[in-house]
Formats: sequence, C-alpha cells, structure tokens
Amino acid sequence: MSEHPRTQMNDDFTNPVRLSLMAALQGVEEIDFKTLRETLGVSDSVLSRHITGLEEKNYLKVRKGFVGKRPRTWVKLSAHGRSSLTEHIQALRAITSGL
Amino acid sequence: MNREPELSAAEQLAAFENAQREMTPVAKRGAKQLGMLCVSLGLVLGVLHGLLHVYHPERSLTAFFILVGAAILAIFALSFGYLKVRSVLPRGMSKAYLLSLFASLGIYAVTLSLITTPMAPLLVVLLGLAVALPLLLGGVWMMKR
Repeated sequence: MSEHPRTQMNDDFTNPVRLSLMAALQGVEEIDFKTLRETLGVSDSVLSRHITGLEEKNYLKVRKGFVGKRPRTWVKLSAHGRSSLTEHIQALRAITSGL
Repeated sequence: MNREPELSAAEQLAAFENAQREMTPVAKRGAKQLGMLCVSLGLVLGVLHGLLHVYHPERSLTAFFILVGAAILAIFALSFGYLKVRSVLPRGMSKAYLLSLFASLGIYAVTLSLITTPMAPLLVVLLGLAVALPLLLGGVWMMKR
C-alpha cells in the first residue's frame, strides 16, 4: 500500500513566510537579504528569524560579505533545501489534485 | 517561531505559486544586470582585440602594454560595478555567464597569435566581433529572458 502524500509534506515549510521564502529562493542561485525582504514584504526581524531557522536545518546557506564598505548578506537554497522543497510541493500537488 | 497561521495544502500551493510569481520581475532584473555585464565585457574584449592588431608589440610595446592594462582595468571596474549593484542572481545564469566568458576568452587567446599578421581592416573588425560574440549573445539571451 502506497503512503498518503501528506506523509511527504515537510512541517518545516507549512508556515506561510517560510514557504514564500523557500519559493522565492527556488528560482534564484543567490539573492541579497534586502531584495528578499522587499519581495516578501516582511520585516527584517521576521525574515532573519526564518532564515536562521531554515539555515539551522541546513535548508539554506547564508553568506555574509562586503560590497565596498557596506555589509551584505546573501541567501541561497542548499541542495538539501531544494530537494526537500521539491518533495513538499509534489506532496501538495498530489493532495490538491483530488480536490 | 511559527506565530503565523498554518496553511492548508491548497493554500500552501497558492502561496508558493504566488511567491514565485512575485519573484519573476526580481529575477528578470537580475538577468538584465548580468546581461549588461556580459555585453560590456564582450565589447571591451572585442575592441581590445581590434586595437591590438593596430598597436601590436612589434609596432609599439608601450602602446601594447597600455592597451592590455586599460582592458584589465575596464574588466575589473565592470565586474566591481556589477557586484555593487547585483541584488539577485537568477538560476542558471552563472553557468551561462561563465560559458560565454570562457568562449570569448578562448577565441581571444586563439586569435591573439594573429595580431602581428597584416590583414585587411574588415578582417580585424570581424575578428574583434568573433571575440565579442559569445559574450554578446550570452548577454542578449540573459536580457531577453
């Protein structure tokens, strides 16, 4: 008997901000923090919190650097994050296809 | 950590697709920025190649070194300028950039042996275009994505 698609869902991505963050990162190799914050329409603190949470679980990679004298933070999906998100979206599609 | 409400599967899928849609113009802007860098680098390398036919080392070593130095400076300035404005790197773009750059540099290196060979101005222009072409094509492809 095959498993129900809901078992493939990843609880780490069910939060709306986290899901939007992961979706935004899926189409890019790398994006800076400011652009990500503006695109998602969230505050610095909310975005930082979710990035830290996802980074701790190895879904994201964060790179800090300088452009001239200005500090910049870059975010990208890790290979684990990319495959986990794909599995989660496939599960969502499988669940919603019957609706 | 998760103070925001949890979503149903359909709501999650809608939120996911919505976030991807919102990223489209951002990714396009990133592609355009890298495309402009490619076109600029292509033009610099192409023009440099053409000028090296005129000011080759056998004619004037000083002019040759000044030209090469100016080209290196231009490449660094363009790359630094790009890094300063770059906010997003769309997926697959760094591969396309490196492919275009190495193709142009490869043609540049191969045709460098011809700079002391006397040739018609039209041929010099065509060689310069051949050097610039991979970066120009790569750049235009990025800007049209």
